[in-house]
Amino acid sequence: MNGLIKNNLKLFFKTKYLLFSFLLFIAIINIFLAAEFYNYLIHEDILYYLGESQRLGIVYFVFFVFISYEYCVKNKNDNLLESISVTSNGKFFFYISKLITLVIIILIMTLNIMIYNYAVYFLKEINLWSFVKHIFLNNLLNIFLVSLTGICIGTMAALKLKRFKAYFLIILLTILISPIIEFVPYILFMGFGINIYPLMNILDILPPNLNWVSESLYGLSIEPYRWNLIIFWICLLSSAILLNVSSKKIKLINYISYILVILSIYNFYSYMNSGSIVKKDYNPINFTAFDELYYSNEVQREEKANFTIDSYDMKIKIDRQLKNYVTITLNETDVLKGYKFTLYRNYDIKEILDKDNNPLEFKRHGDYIDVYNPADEKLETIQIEYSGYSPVFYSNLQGVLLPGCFPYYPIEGYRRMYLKEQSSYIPIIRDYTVKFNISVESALDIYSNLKNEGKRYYGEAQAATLMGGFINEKKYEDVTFYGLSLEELPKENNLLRIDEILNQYKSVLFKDQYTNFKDMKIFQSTITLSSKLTDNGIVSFQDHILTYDLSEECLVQGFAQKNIPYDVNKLKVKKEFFDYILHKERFINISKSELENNMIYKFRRLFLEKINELGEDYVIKKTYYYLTDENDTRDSELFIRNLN
Amino acid sequence: MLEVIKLHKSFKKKEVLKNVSLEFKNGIYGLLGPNGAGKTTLIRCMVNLYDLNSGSIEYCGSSINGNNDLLSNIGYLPQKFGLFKELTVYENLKYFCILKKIYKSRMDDEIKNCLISVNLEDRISHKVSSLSGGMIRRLGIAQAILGHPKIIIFDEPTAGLDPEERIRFKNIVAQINKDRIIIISTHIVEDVEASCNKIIIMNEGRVLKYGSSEEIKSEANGKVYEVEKNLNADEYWYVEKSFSRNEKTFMRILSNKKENLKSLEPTIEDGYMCIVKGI
Repeated sequence: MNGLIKNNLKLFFKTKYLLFSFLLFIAIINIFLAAEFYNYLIHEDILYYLGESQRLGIVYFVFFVFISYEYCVKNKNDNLLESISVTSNGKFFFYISKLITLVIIILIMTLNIMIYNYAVYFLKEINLWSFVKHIFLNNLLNIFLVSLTGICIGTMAALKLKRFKAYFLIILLTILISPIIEFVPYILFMGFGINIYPLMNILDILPPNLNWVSESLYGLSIEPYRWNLIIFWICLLSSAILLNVSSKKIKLINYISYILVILSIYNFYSYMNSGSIVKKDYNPINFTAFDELYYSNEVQREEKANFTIDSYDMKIKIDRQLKNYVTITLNETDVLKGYKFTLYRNYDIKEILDKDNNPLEFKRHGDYIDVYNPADEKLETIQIEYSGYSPVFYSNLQGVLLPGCFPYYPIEGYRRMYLKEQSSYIPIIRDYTVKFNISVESALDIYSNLKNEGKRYYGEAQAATLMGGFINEKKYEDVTFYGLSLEELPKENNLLRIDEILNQYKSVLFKDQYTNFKDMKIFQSTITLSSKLTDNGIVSFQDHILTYDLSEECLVQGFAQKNIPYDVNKLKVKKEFFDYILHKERFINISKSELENNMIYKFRRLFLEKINELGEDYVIKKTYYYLTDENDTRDSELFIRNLN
Repeated sequence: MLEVIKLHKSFKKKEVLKNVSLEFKNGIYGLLGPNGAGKTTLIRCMVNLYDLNSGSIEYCGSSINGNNDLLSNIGYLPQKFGLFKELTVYENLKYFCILKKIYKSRMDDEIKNCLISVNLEDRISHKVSSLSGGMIRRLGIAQAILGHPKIIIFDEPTAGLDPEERIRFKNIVAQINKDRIIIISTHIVEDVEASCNKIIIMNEGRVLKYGSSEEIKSEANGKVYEVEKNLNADEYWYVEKSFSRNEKTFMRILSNKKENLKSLEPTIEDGYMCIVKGI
């Protein structure tokens, strides 16, 4: 076989048009990578560079489909095949050696991209082994396996089709696989309600999300479903190739072909059960459209629970999706007939049991669960087993983004969790603390606001935040910072002078109690969190804060919000209040015409009018009291108009 | 001994080979028949390119079907033959040596000897693209005889070759003849006349005659005549060819009726035509 491969390589490089195509391909790839490398030197975003390099997957695919077709069909046209086929397994060895030759070329070209990626990695000096692995896996999946699929398609076309049909197929597949076709299912779905996404997705072997801002916690998409899909195609096509190039009487090859078919079926089944994925497109079941479409209907409710929760005991398993077995200890003053909970709707409940493991009847309507108590005594404990995922708050083998303000475990009462006017999630924050005891089974290192012992997380808190992926822990005096490993922090670290910063706002923002930094944890929000949660993703709990960066403004808002109960009705005032305090210059320097004519500044105009009329100190002080007063149920507009 | 036993081969509904039975011992066999007679199909069955519908092909008592050891004993030059044009003569033959699993240590000698047999030793380092059509055909013969196969099959080896190359081919065949079965499929009678020990005549998927050239010739005994062209043609005559002599045009005809005409000594071509045309 070695001899054949050597001769095939020689043949490849001695065939003028193959050599020319190859050299052109190398030139295009390297010019692109070098240009992006130059861009990298300016913006220094390593994940962006990796993403840009993975865009080349489509170029690799097209090149290898074309080159493998031409390379394999060439000798068929040269009437060489008949004399080769007569030799013992000649046709088989001939094609397999050709395939291996092409695989060697793919390997070289995959290494080409990897060299650039690793060069950038070493320049960045982040020393993150998981990212070294991430680079490798991305290139393996998006470049090597995509090219291998291209080879399988090209070879099959060479074996079965005449040139015109083969080229038609190659062009058609390239269009169907490439991102340029994305608008077709979108138009069909939005315009005619026809959902062809499941069909289109079967051909979706290229990396998704490259046109979106990268998710630094997550990296690029290399979820298991993508491996399953591409392995499905490779196994299916390679079994077809094997059956075509070998004599039917060679049992071993027949068995290998059958094994490949079985593997492809298994991978297709696994692909269909993809679980939690991060696919930022307009598909109605992916990413934000999934919830945006759902919550556009009036499906949300709000109702306070007539019980509280004492503790959660959770056994969480995160693989392709989240599985949780949670035991909730309740605190009921009276015997209740029903218990209301909020749990994100895409988590499917398997069963609900009482403390004696007897099944409890329950009703699910979207995010809300009613658990019925059949007995005339308090339930005291409820056990719920469920599994599922959220397309936005992901939990899988690649990343975990489960902020405590998102109901990934049952929260008492009916809670609104989406603000459709802003297309944002509303943080759900309870006003008391409960005991948590969580064991997490995950391939990732999980970071939490709770105390941690190995895979166990415990302690008393309002909520449990779990995050995993490209995240690392850093201590700055009393504050622990969980930062995104791939994002660079500003040179001046505000956490080291947090006391000094907050002191400047002490008189305005920290009412009676000054904030306590002891054991405070700060989680850096991902782009998803900051763009899809109200308040720009700054969420404040008593023991931890989620913020997208460590700027003075974000930190002040994060710490100050701890004393402000979350109320959707007060969001407008809260925004103007913080904007005024933290970005005063920008706030007041909006041109008069803009302020008067632009509808988005309607509320700001009111706010400014009150400041001019009643004085800054008075308005700010009154607003702060309004925001912190739980009993004041006026909405933002009513408050500002009543202000006098 | 190579045996074809009651072989049937169909493509969809079209039966191409009908109950073909043949025996081959060492020697040169000519497989003659008009286009579409089933020669190439028979050969492709023999080299295992086609599956058989029924019947078998055996070499020394073992079925050749899927038997890699036996297949490695077959050298084959197909009707349409090509090579890697970008590689040299040596590199091409080396490629075949690898496919034929010839030991690396023997490869160079094997290649050299085969090239000497086909008079191409001086072209060993030339690119195939620089060779003429006849040379490429000879190189095809060289690849067929690589590894000393016990059976060598040539399918239409002289088609499109000039007379000099055809003579050369015959010489090569005569030279590699020892201890082997050589089967030459052709529709050109001259190709088999001098060099083949046995001739098989096929038509419409059947073997019509199996015998020596003399036996084939004898099929036309008393059936070959020469007549002037202006004579009224009888409906039983089969006109083989017309030719001029002394400013008169004559026809060489075959007839199974006793004619009162000038009788001629039959050639193998006459015998072949009598068999194929049922005269």
